[in-house]
Amino acid sequence: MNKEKFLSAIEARLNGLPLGDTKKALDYYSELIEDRMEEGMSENEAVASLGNPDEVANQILMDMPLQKLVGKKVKQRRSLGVLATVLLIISSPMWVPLVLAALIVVAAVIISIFSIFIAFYAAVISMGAVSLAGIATFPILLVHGNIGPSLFMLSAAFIIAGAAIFMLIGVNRLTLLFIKLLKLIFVGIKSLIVGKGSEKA
Amino acid sequence: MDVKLKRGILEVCVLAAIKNEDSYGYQIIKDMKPYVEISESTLYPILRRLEMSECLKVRSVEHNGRLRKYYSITKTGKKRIETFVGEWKEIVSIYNYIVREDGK
Repeated sequence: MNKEKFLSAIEARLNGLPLGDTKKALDYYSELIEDRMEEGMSENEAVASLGNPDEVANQILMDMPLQKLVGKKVKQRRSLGVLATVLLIISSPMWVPLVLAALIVVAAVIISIFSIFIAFYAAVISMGAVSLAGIATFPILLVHGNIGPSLFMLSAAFIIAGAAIFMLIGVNRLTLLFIKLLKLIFVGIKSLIVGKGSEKA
Repeated sequence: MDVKLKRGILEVCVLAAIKNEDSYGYQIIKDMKPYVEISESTLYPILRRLEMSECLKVRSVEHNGRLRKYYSITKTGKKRIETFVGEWKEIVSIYNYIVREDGK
């Protein structure tokens, strides 16, 4: 394979990415081929030493942020035939509400997951506030001579504070786990978009 | 090796390769070769990441009638190497402890 074929094979697979990103990648590989040839390699050898262009392109894609990959996918879909376009418009009363509903469901899931975490943290914060208030009340009660209630207040405050700390640890763990899960999902979506051969990357 | 760890190490390796003298893609790969095998398609995202985190700067230089991209290290990049070397000392001492205890 010569340089031109190699580069255009990569370009074809990157089609739809922002032009700057594609150009940077092509410049990089072109430079490497030229540098190898300057050292005495033949063009074909230089190209062969870089590996399979599809794999090279897949690796570039896997390192792209997700929004660029989605943008790429959308751009590629634009080249629809006339018939497909007409059908798409005619059937729009059917699929538009469906797509909307799907989007709303996804948004609702995301919002509810976030609100669960917000609720957890709110619970921790309010427990912290209650225990602080308890500690603050202790000297006031003590000054007024209510030794029994003041001690009760203090111990209750400490118990709640302890519980809050435990909860905070648990909630933090849960958040970290959730973030890990999100990352896994992201990588999964990416390799779905990039397609075959990306498992190696 | 853990992917994240390896990626971090390779990033610092690349920074080391351009620390004393600006360099270009092929030269970086050749300089690193005796110590760590790095493929072209591995180097590419590393260079992009280092550029984005402002650890290095890119400039195009004319060479034999074509453009070649030269990478030069920045202050942030130098700091990154320093941090790595500092942290590594700690890791080595932990490693020594683990090996010692394991050998008992």
